[in-house]
Amino acid sequence: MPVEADNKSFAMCQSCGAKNPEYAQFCYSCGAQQTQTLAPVSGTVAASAAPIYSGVVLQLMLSLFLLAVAVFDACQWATQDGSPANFFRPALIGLAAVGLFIAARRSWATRISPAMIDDTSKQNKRKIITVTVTIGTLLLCTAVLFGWLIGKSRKQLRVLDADLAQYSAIGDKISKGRNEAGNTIADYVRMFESIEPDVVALQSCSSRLLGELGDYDIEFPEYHAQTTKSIANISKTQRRMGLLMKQIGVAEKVKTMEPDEQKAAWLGELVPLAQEEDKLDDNTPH
Amino acid sequence: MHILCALSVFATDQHTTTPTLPLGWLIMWWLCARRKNEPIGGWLAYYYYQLYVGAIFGILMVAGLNIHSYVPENFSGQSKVFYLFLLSALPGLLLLFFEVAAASYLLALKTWDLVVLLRRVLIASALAEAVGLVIDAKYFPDNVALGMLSFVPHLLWIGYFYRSERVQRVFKTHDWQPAPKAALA
Repeated sequence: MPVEADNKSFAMCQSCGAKNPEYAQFCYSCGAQQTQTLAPVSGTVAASAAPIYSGVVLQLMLSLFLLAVAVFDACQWATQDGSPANFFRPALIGLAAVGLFIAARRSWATRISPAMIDDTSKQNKRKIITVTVTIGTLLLCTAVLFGWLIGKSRKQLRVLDADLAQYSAIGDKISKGRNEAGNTIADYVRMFESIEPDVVALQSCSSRLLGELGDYDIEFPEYHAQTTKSIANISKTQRRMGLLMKQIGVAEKVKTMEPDEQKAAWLGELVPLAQEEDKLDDNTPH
Repeated sequence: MHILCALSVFATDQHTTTPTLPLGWLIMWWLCARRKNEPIGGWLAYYYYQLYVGAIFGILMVAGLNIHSYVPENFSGQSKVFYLFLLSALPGLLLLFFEVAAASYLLALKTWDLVVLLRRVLIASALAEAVGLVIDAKYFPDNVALGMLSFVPHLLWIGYFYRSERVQRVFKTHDWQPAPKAALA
């Protein structure tokens, strides 16, 4: 039967006599199913046949989940580029989470709080807060950890991809310049002058790549064989660039010589360096 | 179950043998058997132990060993494989949070509506794992065996939460009584 107390409406359990919200399907005390369907006596309690805690709990879970997604996204954002424009998405998701949390509080205030007349219900409120804070803290810590790890890995792989693309483009440019050189010493001197900035850039890029591939090898041991091969190739390129820089030095020196001295210097100094460079292609990397 | 779920994810791009945890299972079984007269005892306690231990173990496994599988740049030129992997592995991991949360609220409040909520989360998890199994069967066949080992216990827990007398008496009728010692003897 419905009971009114302090402007709130309740129903007595037919099984144990405990007071329950009049819309409860099961008794809070004994769990017995409540068959009566009574209209609410008081206007402060919303009429609903829905179970009392699951709605609020579901809203809280979704709110925590969205908050964790926002934190995960924000951590990725912070570990990568950190540009203000990209903060829009995590901020939006975070706002949605806050909105859901406010909805959960309203549900509590309108549907559950008015029904709290005994200590059990008040204890349940404290339990819900405790579980929410505990689960939320663990979830947010997990989101920070995963966001940071994935963001860091993404940044590392993007830098590696960009450097590999640069390495390939500069290498192609140098090869093209060398292949298009004419047959005279003057042609070669011009070619060496033109490729010098690229050789310097490739040396710098190779050094960076060797460091990055070393880190990659540690983080991705499953690709060790492939990474080792790449490191060997880049190391060979570095040696080649070292020899090319020496050839460029000889070419600069030859340029200042008289024509009759040029050939001797070319044959005596540059050709051995070129032969040494050719030998690099014969050596199989170990 | 959740340990297996994490290992299933782990196995996607790494061909390593997965460790089994017979000692851990034995300890959990012993703890649950000791509490079988308590309301949260027996198989119900086992459910909570395996859920929490599995969730912690799964997070550590993914963070420590398998985080690279969730990095899109790792799948450059194979974005379809990446999205299929996400579809196969991610819903199960996300639903793990909802399962842990729903089970924790249920443990704290012990109301029947939360049992209904937990059942729905378990069913959603089983459906997500079924979808994952179909994807694994076609694209990541190495994971099918581990996927099955995760999927089948999920079905058993769904059955448990529908059929268990302990669940009914602890969360619905609230009249769980320990068996008298004489009866045990």
